[in-house]
Amino acid sequence: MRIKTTVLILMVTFLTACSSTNETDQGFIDNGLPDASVDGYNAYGGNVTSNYGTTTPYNPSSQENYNDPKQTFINDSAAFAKETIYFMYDSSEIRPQFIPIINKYIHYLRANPNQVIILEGHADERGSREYNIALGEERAISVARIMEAGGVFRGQLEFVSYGEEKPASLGHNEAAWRLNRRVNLIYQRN
Amino acid sequence: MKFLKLLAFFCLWVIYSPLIHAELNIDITKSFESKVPIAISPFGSSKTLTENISAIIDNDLNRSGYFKTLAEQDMLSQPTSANQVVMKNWQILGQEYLVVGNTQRARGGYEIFFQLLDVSKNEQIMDYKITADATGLRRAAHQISDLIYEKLTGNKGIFGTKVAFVSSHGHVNNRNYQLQVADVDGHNSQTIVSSKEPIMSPTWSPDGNKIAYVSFENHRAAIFVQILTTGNRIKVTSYPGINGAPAWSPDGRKLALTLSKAGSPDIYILDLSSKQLTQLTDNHWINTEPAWSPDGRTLVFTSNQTGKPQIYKISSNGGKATRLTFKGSYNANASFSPDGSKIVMVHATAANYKIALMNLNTGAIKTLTQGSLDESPGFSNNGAMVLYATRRAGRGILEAVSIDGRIKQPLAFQNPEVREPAWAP
Repeated sequence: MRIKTTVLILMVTFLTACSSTNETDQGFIDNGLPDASVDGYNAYGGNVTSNYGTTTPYNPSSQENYNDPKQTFINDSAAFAKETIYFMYDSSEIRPQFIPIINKYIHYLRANPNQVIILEGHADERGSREYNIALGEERAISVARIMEAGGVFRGQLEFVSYGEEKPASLGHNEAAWRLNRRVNLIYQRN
Repeated sequence: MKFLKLLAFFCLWVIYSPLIHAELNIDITKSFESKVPIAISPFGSSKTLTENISAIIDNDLNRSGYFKTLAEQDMLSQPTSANQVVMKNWQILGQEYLVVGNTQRARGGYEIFFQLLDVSKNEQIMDYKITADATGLRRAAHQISDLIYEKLTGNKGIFGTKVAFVSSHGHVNNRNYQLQVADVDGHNSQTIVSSKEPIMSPTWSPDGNKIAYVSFENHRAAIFVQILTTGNRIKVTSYPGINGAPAWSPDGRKLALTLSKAGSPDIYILDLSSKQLTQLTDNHWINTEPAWSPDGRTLVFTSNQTGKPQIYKISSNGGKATRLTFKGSYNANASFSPDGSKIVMVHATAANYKIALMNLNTGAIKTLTQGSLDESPGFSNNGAMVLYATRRAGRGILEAVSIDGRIKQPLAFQNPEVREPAWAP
């Protein structure tokens, strides 16, 4: 068991080192992270109507139910309280301060192999929208790779990218952008 | 005698030449730096109709960025036809052009007569009659604006066009997203789809009857095609991962799109009738935002295979992609001009995202806008204007810019946040 954990930590460190790019830091230097994710996220809803010409109201038939992150953390330990990973500008590199958070998720998912987690990638508003969708997915995949390397089954990991479409902060400056470059970790309700 | 004639001619030339010279200068500066004064005299019987035609023309021309219209209360007279015009009344107010008109009931609707007059030259330069039924009065007014604009600027007007766009409002944890279609002056706005989850990337079918878009309404990306007249729609792709950036082929039979089902975003072509999917790019980089050339043979797309997003082109039959852009650290979301000779794209240097035009024959890039978060550019059907999304005073707005970058025309939508404009065919 001890050997296994060491291997895991090594792998995580190795992957982190591998995924680094040559992005410059745009002023995000605090090691603690602003916890805006719970405020900024609501996975519920999905009412869609259409009223051009003949109206055919649309009822989403296969609406997934998402777990409320707050609920999960009450049942689990307070160590899960930070469920958002933040990124540098135009980068999907996982920074070292977020590795412990991901490791806690890895432990929980390994102990609960039927639990599925949704990795929700996001980008800040700069640049084109569809390219930002791709960037958000890269971020979600970066987190997924570390989790998989840590022994989480591929089937436990799902990802979706919202690009810049669901900002956690509505500002138009770096203070907002750094909160929007993120991956939200959300347990799917079984 | 001959000498005297020559002398007289010379004197006249000396007297007139500075004037001629001055007029040339005025023309040049007025066209591009100050707005051209034009008066739209209220049309006869215009106020009794459901639409105030002269007010619509006035509003169109005023917002065009090229003209400055004269307020009704400042007019000394309000003629409704060219033979009633006393030119002095308009010269004294510094007007360069005057539009007069009248409306008559006719069988099945109305006849609108209008004349465009050059005030300084004291001559009539346009005389038209347009017929419209009661529901077509607003469209007829935009048509008149288009005719006047084209006559005086040499560029086709955009006042009669429609645009699709995405709007959003609400707090971060309770946002509403809408796909809307409206006249370019903001009127006749209709909501096509509304959702609590994001809607993206609207694109018109070439026949103008359908719109393809991306919707996250099931907490997953899916591409839909919706028929505008009936509201009926079909989900065309909902693979795991990205389903994005739909682009209609010029013949309307296929959609180019982005899927990441194979692990990373690649360009695919979906045949809409056979549902056959063909993969066009295949690498581990980001490949997205496909756009067709007008002849349907080539697509341009965004790829970061050199580390930063740049524009590439590829045959619609597949094969090797060729890089097109080398200037700027970020080039993305390109689309072709109607004649296929140019592309517009998001172009960034030093993290300022602007709209730029690239000549495909020379490779020259010209920046058209001055914003820092400009995006989603696309050509008008006549190729004279580029419509894009920008920010002004904290709001997301749509703006049209002429392809020489000199004339900008903000679109007047009341929504607090609009983006992703797509000009109707």
